[in-house]
Amino acid sequence: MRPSTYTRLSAALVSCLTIAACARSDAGQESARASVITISAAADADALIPPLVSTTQGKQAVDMLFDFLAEAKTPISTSGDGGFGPQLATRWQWAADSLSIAFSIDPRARWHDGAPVRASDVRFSFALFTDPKVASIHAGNFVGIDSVSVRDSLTAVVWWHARSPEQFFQVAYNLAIMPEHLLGAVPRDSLLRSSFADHPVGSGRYRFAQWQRQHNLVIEADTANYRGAPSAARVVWIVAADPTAASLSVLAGQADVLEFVRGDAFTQARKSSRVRTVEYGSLDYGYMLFNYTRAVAGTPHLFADHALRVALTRSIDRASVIANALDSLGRVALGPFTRATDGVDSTMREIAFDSARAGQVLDSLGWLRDSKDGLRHRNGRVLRFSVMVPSVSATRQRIAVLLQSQFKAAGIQIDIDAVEPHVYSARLAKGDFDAALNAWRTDPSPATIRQVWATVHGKDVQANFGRYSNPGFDTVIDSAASTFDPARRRAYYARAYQDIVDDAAAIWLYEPRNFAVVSNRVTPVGMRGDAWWAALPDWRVTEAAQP
Amino acid sequence: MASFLVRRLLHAIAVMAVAVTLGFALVHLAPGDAMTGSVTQADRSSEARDRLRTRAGLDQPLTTQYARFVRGAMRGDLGRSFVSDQPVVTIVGAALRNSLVLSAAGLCAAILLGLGVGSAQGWYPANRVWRVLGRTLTALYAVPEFVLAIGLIGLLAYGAGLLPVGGMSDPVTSLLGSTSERFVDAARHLLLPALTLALGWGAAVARQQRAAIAASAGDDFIRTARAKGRSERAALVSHALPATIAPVIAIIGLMLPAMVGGSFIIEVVFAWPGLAVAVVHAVAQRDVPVVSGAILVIALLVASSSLLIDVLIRAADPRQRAA
Repeated sequence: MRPSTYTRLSAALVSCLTIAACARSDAGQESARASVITISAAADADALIPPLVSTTQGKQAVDMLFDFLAEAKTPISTSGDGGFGPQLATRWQWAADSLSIAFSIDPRARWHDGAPVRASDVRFSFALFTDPKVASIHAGNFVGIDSVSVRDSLTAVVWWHARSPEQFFQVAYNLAIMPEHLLGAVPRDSLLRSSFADHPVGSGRYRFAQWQRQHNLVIEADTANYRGAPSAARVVWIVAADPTAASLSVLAGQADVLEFVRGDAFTQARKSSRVRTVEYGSLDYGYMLFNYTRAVAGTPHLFADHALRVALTRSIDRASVIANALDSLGRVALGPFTRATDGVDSTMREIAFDSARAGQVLDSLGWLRDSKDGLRHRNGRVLRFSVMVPSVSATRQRIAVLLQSQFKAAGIQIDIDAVEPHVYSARLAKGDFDAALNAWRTDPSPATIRQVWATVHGKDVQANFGRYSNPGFDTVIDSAASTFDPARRRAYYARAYQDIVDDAAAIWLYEPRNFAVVSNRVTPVGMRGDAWWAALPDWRVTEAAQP
Repeated sequence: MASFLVRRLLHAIAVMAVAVTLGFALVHLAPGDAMTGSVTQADRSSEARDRLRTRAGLDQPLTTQYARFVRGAMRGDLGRSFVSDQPVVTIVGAALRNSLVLSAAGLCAAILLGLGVGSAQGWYPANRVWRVLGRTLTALYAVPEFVLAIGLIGLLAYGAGLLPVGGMSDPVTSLLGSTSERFVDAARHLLLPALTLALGWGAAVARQQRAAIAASAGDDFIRTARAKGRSERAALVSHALPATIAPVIAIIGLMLPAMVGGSFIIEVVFAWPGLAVAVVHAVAQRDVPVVSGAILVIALLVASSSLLIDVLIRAADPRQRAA
């Protein structure tokens, strides 16, 4: 069959289109790209107005666009103001009674539209974060702050009801400053409908450039910024929900940063000459959460029995479970905190794996092995409970299977209940579970451990989904949170941590090790556990990838 | 023809009503809602969550919410997202456009590939080249879409470095590039996902077309065309192809839901912000207005496209016109 003129023309057209499609960018764009840091993100930002942000990606962007009164140093310290340096405020002055702090705003600070930043913007920002109409999930961070007043156009005074060691951290770390002249007239219950939501204006070292929802977000250097221009001209977040495609984009050189890597992608990154892995502190821990209010195995409040909880913990060889599930990318958790938490002693006493002792305790509690099925029974009921796991977490599902096998060897049957994430959250909140494999990201403030483990009074369980209660722990942790003397504070926290670990409040399972994949052309600095991106404006970018 | 159209139209409206009602009910019946279901919501006080639920109308009976949705939909107002507070029309419109761009490119390539390979394979059954091409397409059809996508990324993007790994465009080019640069960039980003779709869909078209052409090769009208001195190519293109095109149009009709609704696997792997990804995210976040709006739009497009396909088949096939 000889090709006709029409066929030849069609072939030529298809070839031209294919060549054009495969053509690389021109030199100008390559040059522009050289000063860009591209981050491969698992999801899009949810919002770019600080009180309305609830995702990590949104937080990364607003931290670049908006300033805070002071800048947290690395490693972060939450007590007093020693762990902070100037940012929007050049200096601050404590009142004699420590019930207020006067922040002096840098007179050079400008919003990205050119208007000067004023003390009234600080007052406005506090009002926005705490307004019930805004319903910010961050409003709880400002409990204890009475008000913000304006002494003069460049001095904002923050007032507290009572002194606390973390009062400076509370305002400096959490209060992103927003422009009153642009947001003041927007109804509080419809902030996301404003033009500001799509084109935010901050005073940070990066300014907003472009947001194509579910696709990419671009910010560019504010070259005239009062704190100096950032190193990279642009930072781009590209959304890549599929982990394989996300890691390939970094390995192929189309993205520079992947914040978190696991499994095969970690091995590939380690072998690549184009990228490297960088470890940063982890504030996450995983644990088996008990429901203290539930009747399990025919016993009301089964998990309220301390001896039983200790026996359950002793039945599990946590080191082997974590090694099998996470290999070298995880460590056995110490408790409801991580090794990166300020003041944690990693040599603290733990409940060690001891199947023989666990068996003796279970025997003494009346849970005796039946030779027929190998399981423990009491009053005709098997020692059996379900463990809820979110279906999207491969790690936790793997751990659940390993736990199932180890519990079975101890004569305990667990049923794995894998559920969709929304169902998982809804059932946690309602207390509709026996036990759950939960994961939690701690806050830099050690005092926030109370949200998850302090006794719940009333309807709001906060994050104490199992309704754990230990008055001794409550007392010590309250003392730790209100003590100003650093040595005593540290001692109180150590005692509280040891108390909750000895109490076997949960089975503390794993603490993941965070590894980011970073292109060789980028030199990261100041990657903190709570915010690896904190010093992103100072990350250096070189033109060519270093071998 | 008029009664046929009216019948099909009523059928399409019924399908849409059932799809939208079912979608609305199922999302509402699933545990949790946008204000109470995620772990981060634990940070929000129960009063704040209740206020948000009232603002969104989630405290009202399901029938009231449904009636409000239907009334709004009649006026072209599908409400606002519980998560981003954007109009649903904007969210669904943008995602639908992206899905249609990808699907249209994939479909065009699939038709060209499938018709070309299938026709040639059926017309020249002894030709080894066409036979190998046909079998290769069939083999690729058997490979799961996800594996094919990752394989193509590994080969053409990661290995050869010719094409981007994913996304619809390069953010820097879309910000700084000229119109022609943006066009080339968009073509580069479209090529891999469209090719993945085309290989799957093209194989289905090729199999159908090969069988139809082979069956018609011995028909009287083809023999007549040859007897009149028409070349083999002319007999194929002018006579065999038009007579066998109706089943292919029917197959394309079967592909319509995937085309309009987007291919979730392809969109996720290639980070393509299409409708399938938007719907799955919305379901995960219990963003009821977006889910309901997307189902309505998908049902509308599928129903109207099916109608169009039926009309096209009637127009293309003289036997159906006569019936």
